[in-house]
Amino acid sequence: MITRRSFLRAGAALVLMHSCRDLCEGGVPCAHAASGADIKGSVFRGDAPKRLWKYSREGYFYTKSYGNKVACDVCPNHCILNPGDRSVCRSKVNIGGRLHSIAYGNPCSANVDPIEKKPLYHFRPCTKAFSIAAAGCNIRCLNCQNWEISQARPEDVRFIELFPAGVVKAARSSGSSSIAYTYSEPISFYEYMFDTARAARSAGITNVFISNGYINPKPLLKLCTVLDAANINLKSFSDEVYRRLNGARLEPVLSTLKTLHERGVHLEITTLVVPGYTDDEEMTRRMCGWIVRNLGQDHPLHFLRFFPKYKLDRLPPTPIAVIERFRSLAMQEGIRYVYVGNIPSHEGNNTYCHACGRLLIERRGYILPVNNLSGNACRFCRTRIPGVWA
Amino acid sequence: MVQLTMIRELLAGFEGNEFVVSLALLCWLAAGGLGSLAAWWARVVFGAPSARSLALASFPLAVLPVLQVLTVRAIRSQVLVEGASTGFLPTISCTAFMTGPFALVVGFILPWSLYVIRTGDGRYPAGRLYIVDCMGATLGGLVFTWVLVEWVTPMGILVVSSIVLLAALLRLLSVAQAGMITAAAMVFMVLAAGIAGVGLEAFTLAPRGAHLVEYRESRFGRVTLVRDHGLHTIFLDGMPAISGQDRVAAEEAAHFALAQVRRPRHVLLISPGGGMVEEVLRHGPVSIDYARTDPTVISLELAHGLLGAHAGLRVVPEDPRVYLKGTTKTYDAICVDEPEPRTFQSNRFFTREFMELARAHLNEGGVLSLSVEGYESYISEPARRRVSSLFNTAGAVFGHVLVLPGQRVFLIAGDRPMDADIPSLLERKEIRTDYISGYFSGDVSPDRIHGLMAQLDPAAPLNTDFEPYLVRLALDSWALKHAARPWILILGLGVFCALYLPRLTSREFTLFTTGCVNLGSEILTIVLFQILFGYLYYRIGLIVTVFLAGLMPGAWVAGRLSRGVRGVLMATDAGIAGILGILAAILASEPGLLSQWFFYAFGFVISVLCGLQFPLVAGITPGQDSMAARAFSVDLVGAAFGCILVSALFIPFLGIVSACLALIGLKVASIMVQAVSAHDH
Repeated sequence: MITRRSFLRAGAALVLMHSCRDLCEGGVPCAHAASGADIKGSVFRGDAPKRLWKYSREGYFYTKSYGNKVACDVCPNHCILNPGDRSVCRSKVNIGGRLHSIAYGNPCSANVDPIEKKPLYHFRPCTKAFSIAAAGCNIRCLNCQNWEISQARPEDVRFIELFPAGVVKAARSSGSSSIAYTYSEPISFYEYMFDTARAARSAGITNVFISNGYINPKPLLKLCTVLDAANINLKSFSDEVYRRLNGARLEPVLSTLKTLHERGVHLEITTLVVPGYTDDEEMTRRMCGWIVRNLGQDHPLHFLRFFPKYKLDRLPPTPIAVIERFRSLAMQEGIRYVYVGNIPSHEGNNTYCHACGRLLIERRGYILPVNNLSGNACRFCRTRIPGVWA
Repeated sequence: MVQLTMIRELLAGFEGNEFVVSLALLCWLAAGGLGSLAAWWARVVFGAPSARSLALASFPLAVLPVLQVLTVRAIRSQVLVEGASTGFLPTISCTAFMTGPFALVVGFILPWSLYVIRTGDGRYPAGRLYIVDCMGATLGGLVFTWVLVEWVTPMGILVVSSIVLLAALLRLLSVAQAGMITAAAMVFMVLAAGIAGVGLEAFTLAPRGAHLVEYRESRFGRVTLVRDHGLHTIFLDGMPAISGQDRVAAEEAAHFALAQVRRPRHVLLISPGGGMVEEVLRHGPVSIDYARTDPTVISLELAHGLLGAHAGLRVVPEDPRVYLKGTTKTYDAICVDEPEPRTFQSNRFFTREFMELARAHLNEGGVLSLSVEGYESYISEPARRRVSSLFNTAGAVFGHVLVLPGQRVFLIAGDRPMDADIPSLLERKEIRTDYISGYFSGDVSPDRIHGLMAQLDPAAPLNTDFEPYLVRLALDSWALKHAARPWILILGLGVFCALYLPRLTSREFTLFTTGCVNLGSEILTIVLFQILFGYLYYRIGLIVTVFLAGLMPGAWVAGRLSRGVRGVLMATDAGIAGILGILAAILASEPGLLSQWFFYAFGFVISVLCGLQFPLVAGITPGQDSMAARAFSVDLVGAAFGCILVSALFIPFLGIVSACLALIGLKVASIMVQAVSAHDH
């Protein structure tokens, strides 16, 4: 049904989209102006560099079409690129009828982070993750924490040269036991991530995928062969919210969650609770129900507090009471390990045994002063705790 | 009154930066210029105007403001993305939509009323109307600034102005012997619009899903307090500023600085966020002085538990920089938690001059703490330049500067070496924190600190009062965030100039530059006044009034001149340039010589000289009716250019002294045009 609000929005979006293309960067249909409709990005016509650079690799998943067109098959955006075009994620270009990634070996961010920061609470606690990102993202979250790199072209940001073998070497020398593909959106640098992950696995380093999960099944299945853990940001449980807050769709993300679960990749889920967008209790209840039915009770779920960020800077932070309510609601629905995020020193940061309820791990930030796990089981009742603990 | 109300409305609805203010004024003045031209066109097409036509044409001014504000609020909440800041195009579209129709009619009415008056008195001078218009504007400005703004809500102000106008229109209709039905219809519509506006005022400000607890219009902007599931958040001009549950921000802002001081006894907090005072108290200071410009915010904090009453806590409800300048008290730590340096006003707390002032009020071993928006994993180019500039600025004043990266980048400056290991410092003081103790090691690791330090640019310009580099970077950041290209606007203005200026006569060109310099000087004066003397609301209101008031005697003198127009124009141009030159010279050599009286005198003299020129160009040229309309139009368009040039280009990109010189350049160009086109007339 068309409401007055949606009619107003659609009308304004149409007018603004047509009038502002020259004033805004080609690929973004003036998301901020195009209002609550769909802020999905679009292909950047004629924006590809004239020639490939050192940091290029032919795409692993794409289809050639007539007239030298190519269709990228990595993510559900299915960008169809004419020669000279650039994909929604800004990292893929069609040059000479072939799809190339231009985010390969040129990370713009490389840090050593505690694994808990990802957040991964049930995967090798107290270890370090060598974390890398190249520029680009296939969606357009209004509250992106890393918009400086996710909404930028690879050639427009400062980067270091670090090809897959170099990443593995750097990870090892930093004492990291994992490599995390994170910050921006690793799906946009899929080829670089996959090759690095393969090299890391043969070197005995684990691979951690921190992503929006907006990826097609085929590339995901291939990626699963080298992945050890993932944290997928399930941004809401509403397709409408996904479209107006993130410029993406819900269904492909749910499909990703199922695939990761089926392939046995250690999986944790994060949901940012944004006031006015994703703080709907009923929606959260449905989301938790879906998780329990499709993924089981064992995948940790993190509810994060929102703070004003990027374009979404005129909203208040999420009240702590809302996060607490969602945590108890998720536990009522049957999810065994539900955490709070961005609330220091809250008991919701700790791990409690789902069988006996005793404190297993106390977390003070990235420090774990109490650890009552014995191997992968509760020291008190010997119940196996889901996760990768060693 | 309507103009001032609308600017406040735009600042609250969109981003409160100089660019938005200048866009609002640009749209206003440009639409006014178009309206004036439309009056001339209407005169040609429809022939002799009547009092009745003036009343009917003026009527929209009594209902449009309320409707425009309601519409823009509806667009802000219903059409644009809720809770999101807007980019260049939505801002300029809404600004044009909000100010355009009203300003168009205002621009139309000015020459149209002249035509109406001249139907009875053919020799009525345009200059006299100009004087009356200035008197009205001055009176409106005074009433708004001194009476209405604190006591009446925006809708109330608009209703007051509508009722005053309605009374004038009814009088006009009675003179024109119009029917009762017309008058009754006008009264009904004005009342209906007013009731709708006042009735919907709070409703249109309430956020979705949260409860609007308090709404106040202070002298400094809109203050709203919202409650959601027990969380109180104070919004200043639409942006969340103080929140009751932001432990991370409170700990960072308090402990990063105080950890460096062994035993802080006296602490000054400048515009602190929620919970910061409580964190500072954990260091056991003897006194905490809490300074904030807007007392309305303080009263809301106290009333809703965002600020508790503590022994040793003293609230200082005045401009913190003015307070610091006037006090002899010294501190062990001065913690600045001001909003981002996006405006000339907030930039005053990030400049070299402020840091020097702060240093003079620090005890031995004391520290100054500042912070700006940070980053998660990658520092963008404008942000890198911003931190570099701040680091260099602090380095020019203090012996040691520590930079801590994170969601906010902190700079701790002092004259003793700093220690970046904040958790250890706090541990030594036996202060246990929720965030810093557990997260600092991962979020502000030595690697991240070194990574940021390695990226800082030692050649980045210093941020000073008169060259506010950070304001310019704020415009860059805004453009980057919204993928906007404001240079298209600049290009558009350039093209407009190229098409528009050649069509002007030499005298109209002089008037164009006068409009430009008059408004440009006013903006320059307000910015300078704030820098030198602080945000003194009433005195700044007085400056605005002085700039309007000076136009009247100028126009009055011009009405008594009948010969030597060219010479007078050139002489007044030279006078304007000379006064600006004096200001530039003092600023460049000894700005300390400038007193508040200088600015009042400066504004008055500049506007007298500008006011003198208008009647000469509008009234003496043959074909007076069309020339008057054109003169009104040229003056307004010139002012529009002055506004955007000075606030969005000259001051941020060239600095204040160069902005003065650029304005002088405009007047020199005017003199040259007058000189070479001596035979035009």
